[in-house]
Amino acid sequence: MNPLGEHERAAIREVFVDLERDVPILLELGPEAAPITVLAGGREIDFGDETKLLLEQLAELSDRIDLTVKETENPGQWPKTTVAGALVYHGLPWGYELTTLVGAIAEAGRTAPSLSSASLETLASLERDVALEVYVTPT
Amino acid sequence: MLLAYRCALASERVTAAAVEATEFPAAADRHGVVSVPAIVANDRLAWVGSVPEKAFVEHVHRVSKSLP
Repeated sequence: MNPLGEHERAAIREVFVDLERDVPILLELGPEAAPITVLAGGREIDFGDETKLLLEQLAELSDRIDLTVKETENPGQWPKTTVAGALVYHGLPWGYELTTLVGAIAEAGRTAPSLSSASLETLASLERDVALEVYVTPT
Repeated sequence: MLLAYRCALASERVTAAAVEATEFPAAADRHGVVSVPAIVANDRLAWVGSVPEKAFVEHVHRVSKSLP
């Protein structure tokens, strides 16, 4: 499988041109705690392999991106992609969710926050930690 | 999803993770996720659906205040 076509590569490269700082990406692979089988194009999808290939292709599009791949034997929600040590994606970011991953890299590559001053003020007033998990699908 | 990431980058109190629901259906079921995007905050389903930035941040603020 070739996750990115030429058109997509060109579009993503345009986004990554604006990266203002280096963006480390950590991909962690391992056995899924509750494995499922998904068929696409007449074959079974290996989420870890597909994610690794996708991230390798993304890393080729900018010198600002530094990809590290680690493997574990512990079952969990793998593959897990962590952008800039903070932005996490569990699973294969395919379909529409490729935009999410590219957007995460773009956000992490900015030196100024992209939220409004009012939003930043509200977030600065948080008194307790909030762990957000956003459930998404590729379509 | 990007709003969650933006919040995480803007505040040390916020962490953000996307979870691919079809790949991890057990986790989605555990939180009662039936449509996406579904936002789980501190392990509880908080709200469902895309909202503008102002409403998203207000949701996060409200969740933070309602925690025990």
